[in-house]
Amino acid sequence: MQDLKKNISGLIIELASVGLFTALLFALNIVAMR
Amino acid sequence: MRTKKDKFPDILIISYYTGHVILGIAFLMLIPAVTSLCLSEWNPLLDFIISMNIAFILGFILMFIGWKTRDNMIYMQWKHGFVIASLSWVLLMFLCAVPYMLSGHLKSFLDACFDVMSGFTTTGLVLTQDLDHISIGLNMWRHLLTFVGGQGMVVLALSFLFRETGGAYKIYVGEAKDIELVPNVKGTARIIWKISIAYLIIGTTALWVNGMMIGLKPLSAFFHGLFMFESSWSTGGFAPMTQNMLFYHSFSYEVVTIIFFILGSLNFGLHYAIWQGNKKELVKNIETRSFFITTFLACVLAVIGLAKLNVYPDAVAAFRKVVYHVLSAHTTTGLGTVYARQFALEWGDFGVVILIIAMLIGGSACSTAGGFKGLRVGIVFKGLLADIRKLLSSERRVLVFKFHHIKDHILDDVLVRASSIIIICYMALFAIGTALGTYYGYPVLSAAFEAASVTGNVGLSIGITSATMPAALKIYYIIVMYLARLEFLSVFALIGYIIGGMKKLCQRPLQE
Amino acid sequence: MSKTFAGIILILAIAIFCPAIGYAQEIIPLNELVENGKAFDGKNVAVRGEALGEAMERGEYAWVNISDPTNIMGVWMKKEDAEKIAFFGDYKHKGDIIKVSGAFHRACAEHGGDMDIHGIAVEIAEQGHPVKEEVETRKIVVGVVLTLITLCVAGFYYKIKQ
Repeated sequence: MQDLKKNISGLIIELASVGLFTALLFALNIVAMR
Repeated sequence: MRTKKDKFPDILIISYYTGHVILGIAFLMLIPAVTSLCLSEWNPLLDFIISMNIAFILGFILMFIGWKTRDNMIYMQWKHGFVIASLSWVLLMFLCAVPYMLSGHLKSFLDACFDVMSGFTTTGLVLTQDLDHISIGLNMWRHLLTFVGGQGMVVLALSFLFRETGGAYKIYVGEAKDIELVPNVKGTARIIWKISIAYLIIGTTALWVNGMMIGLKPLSAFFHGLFMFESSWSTGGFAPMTQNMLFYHSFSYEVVTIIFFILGSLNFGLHYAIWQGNKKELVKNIETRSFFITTFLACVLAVIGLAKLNVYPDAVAAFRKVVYHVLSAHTTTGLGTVYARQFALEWGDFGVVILIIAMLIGGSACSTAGGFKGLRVGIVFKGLLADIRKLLSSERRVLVFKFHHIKDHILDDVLVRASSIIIICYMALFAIGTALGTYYGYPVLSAAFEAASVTGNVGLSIGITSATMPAALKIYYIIVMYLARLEFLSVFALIGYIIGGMKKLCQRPLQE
Repeated sequence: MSKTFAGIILILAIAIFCPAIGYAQEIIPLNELVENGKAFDGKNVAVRGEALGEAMERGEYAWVNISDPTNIMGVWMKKEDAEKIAFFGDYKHKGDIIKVSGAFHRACAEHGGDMDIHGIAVEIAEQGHPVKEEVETRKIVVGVVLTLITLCVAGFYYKIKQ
């Protein structure tokens, strides 16, 4: 059970980080296109 | 004194285990076969039945040839592992091309082999004609090949078929997966699959729902979602439609693929570490740092470069057309939202050069991605910095440099040299590919783009890849995709083994 | 005499101005649009191709991707026009061939930079139809024979495993 919790939180962290990275690139993109 | 071990022919070991891998793929063909059965696609069903049988028969024969391996406690050596991995890939290329050929959508068997190798190596260049009218069964097969190829087919066989794990590690490394996640290789393979299946469920669902929101019907949205997930996670770049991602005309669909193809390009060891609770690894790891820096730089340069030429009207377009392709190139995915020719016609040389560099650098080691790999780029770069510091510091001080990849490692000369040599091998493939392209009359930057795409197992095309491409170029690209994906060593082992075997054959009559 | 003269002038006038109205617009191969994106950007074009996959309805409008012998492109059209299309091309169907005229965009600002055509006039040029699968008896025979061989080989495998 502990393992599963760790797995799931790891999964969420990965999705969140990549999402954040993508958002960051989008923001950068907006700035560059002004 | 010659022991029994010395006399045991290598070929039996190789044959026995290669047979196992082939049987694994034969079973895999059940998936598209069942798909076609459920959808009443009779021709594809027959195509897969025929192909499955051929694979089963060949697999069994190879196992019979090497049968003695079972009875003896045979110690598998590194050379066996490498040869099994590289040989399996070649045999599988021919076997998996059979359903393609039978479908009638390929202009030649060479084209079919090209598409298979493109799938296995998660490259994503396509020679299949009229994708929009192929059966769902065949599309299932194409995308399954990239999904399985990304994991490594040998890894697949390892997880399910092998009882003995002694030699399994060596085959595993032969397939360029040299991260030891857990001491037990079968366990490692299982973990790689667990992570992939978890994401398969999440990703397919996300794309399925998104697909329905953008106007796809439920059943087709499911298949599109499944296929696009497999293509993204494996950083393959195939799509069920000829227009690739442009078919969907959807920003949200593209963003979801971005998330999964970036995740797919990350090292499995990294996934494992994070899934075990080691969250800091995400920021400490040399590959994520390397990727972050090079991706950011490439995006900035590309966006600014293209903005100068006024190619795209606004920020959203720039993101969907420029940043998307930089990410697709850098992670070696190959999904695209423009026509191939637009890179040549609209992007201008600077943009194309940025993409070429991004394609060559590639993704992370021990992932589904290709290219030099961030790990090597990071190591070589740090090695360069270390050399500079050594030059500048006093000769009496002993400087030790480290880098972090799952654990802390010492940056020693052997490592830097090994990384550099592999990078040089990739550069050689790239250079020859570019030269070959120009030999056939293609403009140099286009030839370089296509060569980089092939060398990095990317799959973006500038228009060179087509059924009318010269056969020599098709063959060269197949060889490069193969060499690049297996990261050279296993293929060199295979070649060395064949040459060694032939030498022995020639020497025997001389000795008699 | 003058009536005939007026008649000739009228006919000539129609012949000269008709193309501008868009009646006798020449069909442009899709690939020509791709290859000459900048030249055609914003211009009114006429294209003709098979509707593929399915229409993706988005509010009042829909995307229909059409394929001609040279290339494939997305057409943004009114939902009602998309609903006119009976068959879409896939494994089991040959799609309706539609003729579209409208503005071509090399990098459509409305659609995030996509190369597309905003179809104003959409008409069905050729009806599509379901495609009947022809199964070669040769394939069935080969399939059956190979399956039998495989079963024999597998049987042998289990025997020697003992």
